[in-house]
Amino acid sequence: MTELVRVSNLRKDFGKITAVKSISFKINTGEIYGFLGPNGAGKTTTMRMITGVLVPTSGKVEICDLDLEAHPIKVKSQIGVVPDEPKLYENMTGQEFLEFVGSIFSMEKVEMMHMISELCDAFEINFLEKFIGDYSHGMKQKLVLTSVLMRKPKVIFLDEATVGLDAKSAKILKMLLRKYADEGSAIFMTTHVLEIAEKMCDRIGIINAGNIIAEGTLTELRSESGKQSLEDIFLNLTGSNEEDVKEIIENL
Amino acid sequence: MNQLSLLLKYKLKMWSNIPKRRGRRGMPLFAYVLILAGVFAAIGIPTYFLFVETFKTYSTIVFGGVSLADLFVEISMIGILVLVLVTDTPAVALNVFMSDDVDFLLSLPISQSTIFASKAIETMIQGGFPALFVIPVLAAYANTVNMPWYEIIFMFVMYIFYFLILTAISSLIALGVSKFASRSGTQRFMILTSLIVYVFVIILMSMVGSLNSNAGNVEMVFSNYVNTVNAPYLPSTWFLDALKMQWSGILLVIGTSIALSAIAYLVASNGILTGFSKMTSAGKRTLHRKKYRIRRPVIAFISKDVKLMRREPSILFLLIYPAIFPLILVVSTLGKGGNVMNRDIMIPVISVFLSSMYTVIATASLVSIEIKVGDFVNTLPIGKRTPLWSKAFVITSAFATVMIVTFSILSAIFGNTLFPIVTVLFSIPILLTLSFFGVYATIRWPSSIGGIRRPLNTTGTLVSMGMGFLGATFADLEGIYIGYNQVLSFLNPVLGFFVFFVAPVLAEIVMTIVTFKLLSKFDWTKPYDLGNRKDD
Ligand SMILES: Nc1ncnc2c1ncn2[C@@H]1O[C@H](COP(=O)(O)OP(=O)(O)OP(=O)(O)O)[C@@H](O)[C@H]1O
Ligand SMILES: [Mg+2]
Repeated sequence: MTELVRVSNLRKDFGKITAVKSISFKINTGEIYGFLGPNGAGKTTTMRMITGVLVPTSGKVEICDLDLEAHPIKVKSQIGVVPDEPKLYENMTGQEFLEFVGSIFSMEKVEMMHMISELCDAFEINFLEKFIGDYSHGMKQKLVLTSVLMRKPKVIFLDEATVGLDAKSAKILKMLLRKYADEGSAIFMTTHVLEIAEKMCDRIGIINAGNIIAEGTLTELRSESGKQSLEDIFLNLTGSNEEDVKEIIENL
Repeated sequence: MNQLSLLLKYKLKMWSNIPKRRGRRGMPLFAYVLILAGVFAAIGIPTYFLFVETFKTYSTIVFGGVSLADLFVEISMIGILVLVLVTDTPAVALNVFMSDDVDFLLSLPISQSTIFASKAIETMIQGGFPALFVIPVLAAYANTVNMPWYEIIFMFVMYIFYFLILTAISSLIALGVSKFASRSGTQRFMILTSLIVYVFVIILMSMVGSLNSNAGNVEMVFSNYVNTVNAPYLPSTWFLDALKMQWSGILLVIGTSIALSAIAYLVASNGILTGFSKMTSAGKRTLHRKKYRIRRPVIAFISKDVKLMRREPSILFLLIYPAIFPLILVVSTLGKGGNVMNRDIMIPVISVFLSSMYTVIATASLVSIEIKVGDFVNTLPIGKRTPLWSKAFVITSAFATVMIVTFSILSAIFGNTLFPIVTVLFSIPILLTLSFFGVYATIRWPSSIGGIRRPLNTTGTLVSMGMGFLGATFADLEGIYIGYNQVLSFLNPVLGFFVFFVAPVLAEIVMTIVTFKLLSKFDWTKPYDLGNRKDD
């Protein structure tokens, strides 16, 4: 088994705020890694550092045995990123956007057209000739997903990718990710939907206030905490259990 | 009524808060009002005297009961009509009916008619400024026909009713547009309509330009237009009749105004205003069988920037000015003879000034499109600086092309080729430097709203304009030295060589070095962070 992603002691300060304190983890080929944590825990910040968008205050990122700091361009050509908010060029059509991404990543034309047509079928995309400025949130999300999945990257990063997708597309996305992982990719995904994490992820990392506070397979997490459902494990670890939540509700 | 004033107060607060965001000290609202008043006075007062003068000079010209002053009032009224309908309608559709805050307001327990009323008032405020420029014409008219004070008041009341007609029509069209058109379609429509207005301006300029000769000429020029301008179905004709205290005119203006406003109000309160039309992704299975092109990465990036530039109306306008101003100047000086040499020097000089200053701003706009998109470009396997030099390259090429084409055409028509072509060629290197300076300015002085229309804050805009001005001066001096040095015959040749050639070239080199020094000081990991701030 090869490690496609190695992150060690990653830290990010924004002025006085420390968004990410010290994060280390690894993702193997064929693995889907789930990244959970409360709002503001530092999930997005971590992902932005690993994908070369944000320069870390300290720490090291290696992807496909390449150091990100030393070889940013080589690393970036191996990965695909689906950010939490699909911000795109409003004055381009979906087709022009895909063409642009394909060119930047030097894709084979035939391969690209084949993948686009498959993915358009899968996600029911029929709006590629329209301008992105007129897309709904879900439509933009589908376009970003297509632009990433059509390249079959070695490592895929997704930040709350199912938000805004309809039920069927979300289901298809989940199945596709599984398929890509089985074909040898490594997948990193953050999510707030514990059910997705429970069903899809091979390993789960739970982050709170900039630190990973628990990591392992679902079975490992269960036996460590003595709880059954991921929800209970999560609430327990992030400092609020069933009773606390009940008390909050009653006091309202 | 209470809710309405609340909505308006909320909007006013939003407007006045824009410069204050992010803890920067902004200009207070009254300063903006003062500046606007200043601009209005600076343009309005000379216009008033110009028209008083013109009306007096040509008071003898009367076309079947319609004097030249009458005609000018009508033309101004038609002008305002065209301006409001053609340029304001899409703008209003975009900014008012298609803006996201309509969706928000509709979710509040406020009646639709109240929302519409507040939107209509907003529209009048946004579209109202150009309407003020008719006031000097009306004042000059009042002066010419010796109106008593109560008729002057009556005239301005009539003008308010007239403006209501235009606003009502424009709101209705905008409402319709927002129901059926897409946002980006409306944006492109806006570019088209603005081009029409430019053509309109050129025609008007050529009319005014041809005025400067004798009275007979004036009579001839205008006799062609009288019947069109004075057509009985035009609201401008009713307005003139109302000024002459004819009941038919007064009734038509007031009646139409009230009727149209009522219709707009009724249409809006009956559930027409239901947010703008968003596309839905229908569940149809349509196979996607389009041809795709793969380009080399760098070419792909540049051609993407060219697309973004072509489709951004604010950048297109900046590109049009250096071409349109020479044309306007040429048209309005046509047939005047005399100062031909002045014209041949003036036109390229002004054009280079415009291109230089707009290059900085246009680059800033293009860079801020990239910044708005944020993280995406940083995930691409390209060099950190590629997106930035690509922008400078695209904008410089665009301005250079516009100028070369414009002056090739003008030179072909007028014969004098050397000076314009030399000046344009000399300006290209400085345009590239200025464009890189625009990149620097966007990162150094971003505006607090981070908009594409206004990418730089006040300091940034002033510094950029200053740099553009300097750069243009250098290019113009060199152009004069090489292309027109007969005008320098009064100078000692050695002195001329130094002042008009060596000094500007050296200054240009210094400016380029300074710009690249400034750029290299940046921490290149930070620029794009601008677009990703959580408080955006
Ligand atoms: N550009 C920035 N400047 C300053 N502070 C930032 C910036 N980006 C993130 N932060 C701060 O870092 C912390 C972590 O934010 P992050 O977006 O990583 O959280 P998250 O885990 O993704 O939360 P969510 O579940 O809501 O998406 C927050 O306190 C946030 O305010
Ligand atoms: Mg997040």
